Amino acid sequence: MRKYIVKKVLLFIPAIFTIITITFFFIRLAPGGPFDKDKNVPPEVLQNLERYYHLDEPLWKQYIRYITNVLKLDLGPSFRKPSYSVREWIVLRLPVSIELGIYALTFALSIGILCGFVSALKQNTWVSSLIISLGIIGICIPNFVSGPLLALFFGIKLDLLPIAGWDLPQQKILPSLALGFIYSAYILRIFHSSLTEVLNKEYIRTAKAKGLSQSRILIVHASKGALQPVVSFLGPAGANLLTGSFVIETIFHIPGLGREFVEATFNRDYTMIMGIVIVYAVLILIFNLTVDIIQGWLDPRISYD
Amino acid sequence: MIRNRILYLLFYFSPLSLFIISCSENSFSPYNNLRIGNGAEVQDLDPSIVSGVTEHRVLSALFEGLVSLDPKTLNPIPGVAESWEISNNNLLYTFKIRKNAFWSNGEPLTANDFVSSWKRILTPSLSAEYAYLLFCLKNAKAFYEKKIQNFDEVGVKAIDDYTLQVELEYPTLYFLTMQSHNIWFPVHLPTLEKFGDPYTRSNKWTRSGNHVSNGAYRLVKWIPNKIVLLEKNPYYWNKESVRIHLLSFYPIDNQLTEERLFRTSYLDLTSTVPLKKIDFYKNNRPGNLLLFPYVGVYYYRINVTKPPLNNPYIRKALSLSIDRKKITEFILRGGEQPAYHYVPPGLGDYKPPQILEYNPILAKQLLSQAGIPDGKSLPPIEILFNTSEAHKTIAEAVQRMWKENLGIDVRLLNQDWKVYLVSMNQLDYQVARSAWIADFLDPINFLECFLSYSGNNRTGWNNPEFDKKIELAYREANSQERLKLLEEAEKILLEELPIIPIYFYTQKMLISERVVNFQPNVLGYIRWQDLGLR
Repeated sequence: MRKYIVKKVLLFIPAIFTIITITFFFIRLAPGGPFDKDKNVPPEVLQNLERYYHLDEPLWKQYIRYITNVLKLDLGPSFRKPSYSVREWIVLRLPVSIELGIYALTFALSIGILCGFVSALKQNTWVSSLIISLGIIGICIPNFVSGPLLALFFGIKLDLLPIAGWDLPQQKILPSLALGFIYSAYILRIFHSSLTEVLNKEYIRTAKAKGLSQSRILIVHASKGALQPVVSFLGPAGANLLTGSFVIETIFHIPGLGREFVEATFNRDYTMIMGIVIVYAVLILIFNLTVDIIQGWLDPRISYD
Repeated sequence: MIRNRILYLLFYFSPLSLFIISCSENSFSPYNNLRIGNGAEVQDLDPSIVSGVTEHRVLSALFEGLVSLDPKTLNPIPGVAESWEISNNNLLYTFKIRKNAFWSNGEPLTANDFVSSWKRILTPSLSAEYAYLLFCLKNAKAFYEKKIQNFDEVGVKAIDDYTLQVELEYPTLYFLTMQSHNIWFPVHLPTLEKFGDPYTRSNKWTRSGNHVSNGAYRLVKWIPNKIVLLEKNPYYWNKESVRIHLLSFYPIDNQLTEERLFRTSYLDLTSTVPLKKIDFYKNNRPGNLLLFPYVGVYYYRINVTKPPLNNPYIRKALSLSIDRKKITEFILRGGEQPAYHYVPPGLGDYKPPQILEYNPILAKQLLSQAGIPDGKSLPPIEILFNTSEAHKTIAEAVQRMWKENLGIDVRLLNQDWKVYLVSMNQLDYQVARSAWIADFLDPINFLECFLSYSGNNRTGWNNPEFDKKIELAYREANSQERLKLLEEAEKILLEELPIIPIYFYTQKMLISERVVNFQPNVLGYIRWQDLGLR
């Protein structure tokens, strides 16, 4: 196991290096640069700006400079925010996205798994059909629809919850729900079908024959096997949730990283895009590794040697 | 077994325990606090570096230039300078700095602060984007381009601590009104030196706790993407007249979110109004809706280097067949004015030549004069715009008008902002949606864009006579003569039509009943210290 983890972590290095290289050259292929503006900057001023950010150097030189800086954990200055470095900016905004992601994930998991349990237990009844249809609706409603709807209903109509900001606990409820909603529907569907399948397996029948209680069978025996597909789904989904959602962060005015990523791309803020891509890459790699480990624990048949 | 169960419980429920959050104070508290929706996040709070409208709103509360503007007439009124003298040839300005002007850290503000601030802007390593606005100072451009090394040769001098002398390259008659632009605001150099090299962009002096300013307000905290909070500056020379204690600027770039926050009374002033909400406010809450002319023009740029639009008759026909009134009345509905000329109204005594009109019959005649009996024989024309619902709607309307009135087929093309800018710069378009918002209150700011060598021309159009009139206007010291030159230049522009003006902007904002003494003006300039709260 330890050997496996060490091997995986070592593989991170070439993976991240490749991602950096591809991103570095690809973002420069898009037309327009960070200083292209509505009101044109005079050439003599532009020249100074480009010199300041080393954009006047040949590309290979810029690339080597960037890689050396990244090795020193320096992600460079932001083109858009003159007094901030990219690292500072990410440190400022990533925690917000992670916090929102954790709430959304908690919500999605608890609702998804609870409903999955109920619908699998009450198979072929109206309860199960209702839950499954709600799940389908949940998958179909994108969050740029559910977000404003939630804000309109709970925020403006009922005047129960604030509709924007990220200071008070009550401000965090609506965005977490809006973000977690669609994931809970996915988890529900995955968990429902895998649980139904597991419940028909022979080892469950054996457990029943041995006279174990229903709840014990469900919680200890059935769900362990049934959670596997949910866990594999959680790998990419979790990384996705924790790195922020442009839509939800914009609608609810949350200072997270998801919004910054999209803005940076539109503004051609090269260093900021690179920095965020690196953070995302690292998070996704870590998540996938965690999922691998959890799966081994859930299913003894998986071996790491 | 028990261990397993605990693990399960952890797996299911551990993140819940995270939902214990430290409560901070409610940042939307209304008490003696003006809560302002400010559009995008400010890029920085250094007046010498930033260039946007959102930043200007905050900076005009934090800083004060030599002269300020009367929000009603937009005439210069005393700011840091209590009085000034102008030489007869309009080249030499002598400002008397008031002796009770202080920085927000209590240190006195002197004429030298202006000299060192302007020197900093003209230092190439700072790469200030708006440095060129200072090129009206004598020798400023030469210093910026390192043709001269000694800053003493540049036209700004501190005669003594309280006398500032400014010498201009040519009589810039808008020099005083231009002082309301944040590039001219002074910065406190000793503070900058404390937080890094003052002549580079990465200085940390603009952070919460470091910032020093000289205006009616000073910075309490700047939490990026959350809030810029300002409080009354106790060292401001005219602090008695400042009525509101706190200004909170919220960067809310989603217009609909901003409007919802206003409706739920979390904001007192917004940066704009969503197009779809204008009717709602007009009908239900007219007292909250503010629509006011704004010195900005929305126009279609034409690439005059490529046929068939290199033919002025065709361009004229295109302009004549746009029913601008229909666009403002049925699409925009925010009080925008149809543009029958290029420079917006409201710029002092300037009288723009009103020669454009809507006349589809004449348009058809012009087309046949150009040798095209029917628009159908022309290849389709493409309108380029940056991705936006509003631009698209207008382009669709124009598409229809050109089709109906001239029979010309029109295609629409939208591009992401930066791609669109590159297409315009490389003249890789036929017709492109554009706009110009005034940097300062003078017609020349609009007209100089179409000098043949201007980076903002982007049409390929050049007319030596137009260039000559603008260049003469730069040097003309008589204000009436100068305006006449500019009017003549605009006339040339409108006869040749490398651009088709469509409408003049309005400022749209929502304003709460709590706010008193709000004075709208064409510049969108808000003198925060005059405002009060009920």
